Amino acid sequence: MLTATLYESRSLLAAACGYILIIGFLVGLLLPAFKTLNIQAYLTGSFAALIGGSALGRDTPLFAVYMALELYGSFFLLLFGGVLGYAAGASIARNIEDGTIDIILARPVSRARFYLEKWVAMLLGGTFIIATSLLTAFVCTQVFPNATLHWRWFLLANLDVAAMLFLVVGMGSFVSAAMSRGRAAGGVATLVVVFWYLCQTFGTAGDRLSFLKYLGPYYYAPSSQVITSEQWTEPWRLLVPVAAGLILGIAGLAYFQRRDITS
Amino acid sequence: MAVGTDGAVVDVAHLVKTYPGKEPVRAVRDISLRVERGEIFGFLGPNGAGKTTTIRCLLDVLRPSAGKISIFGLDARRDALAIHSRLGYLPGDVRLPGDLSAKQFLNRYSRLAGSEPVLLGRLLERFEIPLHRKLRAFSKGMRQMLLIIQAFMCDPELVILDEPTGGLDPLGQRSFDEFLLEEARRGLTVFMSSHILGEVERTCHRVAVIREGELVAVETIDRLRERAGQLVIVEFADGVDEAELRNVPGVQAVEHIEDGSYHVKLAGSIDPVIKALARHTIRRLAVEEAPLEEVFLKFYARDGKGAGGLPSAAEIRPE
Repeated sequence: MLTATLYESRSLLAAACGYILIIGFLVGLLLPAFKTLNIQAYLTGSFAALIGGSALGRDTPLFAVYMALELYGSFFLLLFGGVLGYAAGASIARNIEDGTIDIILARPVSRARFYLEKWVAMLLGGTFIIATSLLTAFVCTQVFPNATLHWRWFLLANLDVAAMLFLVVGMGSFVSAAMSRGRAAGGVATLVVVFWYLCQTFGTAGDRLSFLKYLGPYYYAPSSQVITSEQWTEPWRLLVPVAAGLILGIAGLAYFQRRDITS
Repeated sequence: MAVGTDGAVVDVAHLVKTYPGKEPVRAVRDISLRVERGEIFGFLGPNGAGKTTTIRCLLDVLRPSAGKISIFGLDARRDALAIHSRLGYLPGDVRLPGDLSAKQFLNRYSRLAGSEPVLLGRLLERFEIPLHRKLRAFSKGMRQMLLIIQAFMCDPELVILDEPTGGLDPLGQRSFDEFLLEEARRGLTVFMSSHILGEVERTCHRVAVIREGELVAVETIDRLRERAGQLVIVEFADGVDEAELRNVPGVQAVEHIEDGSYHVKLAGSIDPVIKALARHTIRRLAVEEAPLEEVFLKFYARDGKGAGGLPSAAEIRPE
């Protein structure tokens, strides 16, 4: 089931990984042009703040800064979290909708195993996305002159996005366990991700809405900021999306164990 | 193996399934039935009667609102994994993954079964399907054959079939019927819902009829045949009083077809009719078994009145 689930989501995951490759290579290719820009001014601009930019570290490499802005900002949550959320949301509900869950559960396969394999498959999907990011960054540093990274901060940023994706998968699994239509469940999970993204952008847009930023995972796992400012403050915050993902995943399992499977 | 020598394989006691909602739907209402080892048990009823709901309760895909289900003497919910390792299932409504080949599909589901597909070779000889073709290119009949193969390939002790021959051509249906009877002789127990009454008549030892969630009959096919009675087609050379035919013991109905020709529907022994007819000059006489289909359809009827001498539901509840 684990491999079957990954196989069923292969188009979405491949699209996400392809997009990462394209962004990474574009940043590498355009690096000479970026050198003429005033990056400090850009980072303190309102748009960069919306997507999670922050003050520049003392010697943050330019390639790292643009990777942070173009890939690891809150866009990462919106794009790749959205894709993964859709895949996770559809993963169980799709089998309910097409009736194949009946054949699977008529085998010696418990509901818990079914659910957990789906969950793990989606976590693996998230791992593929992160691995592609790391690989893209590594290849870019080998291929493009002046494309350098401070790997310590870059890896910590990836830890942040891993925590966000963990939350997304937990939420998607919960939605999928509760619904019976694949596309609808995927759509709901994606909408939740979009809501989280909007919480981040509106939450940083002004003081009156600042409470919103606490509702989205980016506040607790500010991946882009880690790269640009080369600081990792309050690492305990990372536990918030991880714990929330775990709680949602377990709640989904509990519900799935009890529910009638009706399409 | 003889039917029923080792006790009940499926034992359903007072099963109730209500779908909750603003207006709760009582899909199954207090059903009790037993299926014996080696038996082919037909489960019939009109659309929406509760057949698939009952089957999905047996599989623990739906959770009963009340009642108890035992399979192989084990609790259908608590011991689901142990039961499912000995069971094959063919769903009535499934959309197969089109991007898999038949071989990939069968591999996937035999791996899940955790046992070798020992009957696969035999099944593929009987139900020929292109193993390497993608399922999206399969016809409806081919998809059905594939589902039949996956249900039987791991040599289960019990198969639960939800309308197994929908989409099969007459040759495929016959092939399936023969296979089912062979497997039942080997000791396989079959619980099968079907709309194809001829198939039920050919293969099943016993049938249950469910209507609006309630069991209205559990009968052996032989008993149903008796109940269906016989049709005597008679053409008299001399005149005959229709009332005389009606008064013969066992005669349920008399229909005047044309001059001197009658259809006499009868239940029970034919002897009184023969004796009554012997008093007249007969030009033509034929005796046919009444079609079982008529009996089923009477059970299906909403008013539940079994015309032609069928007993009421209360009289024919399972013992």
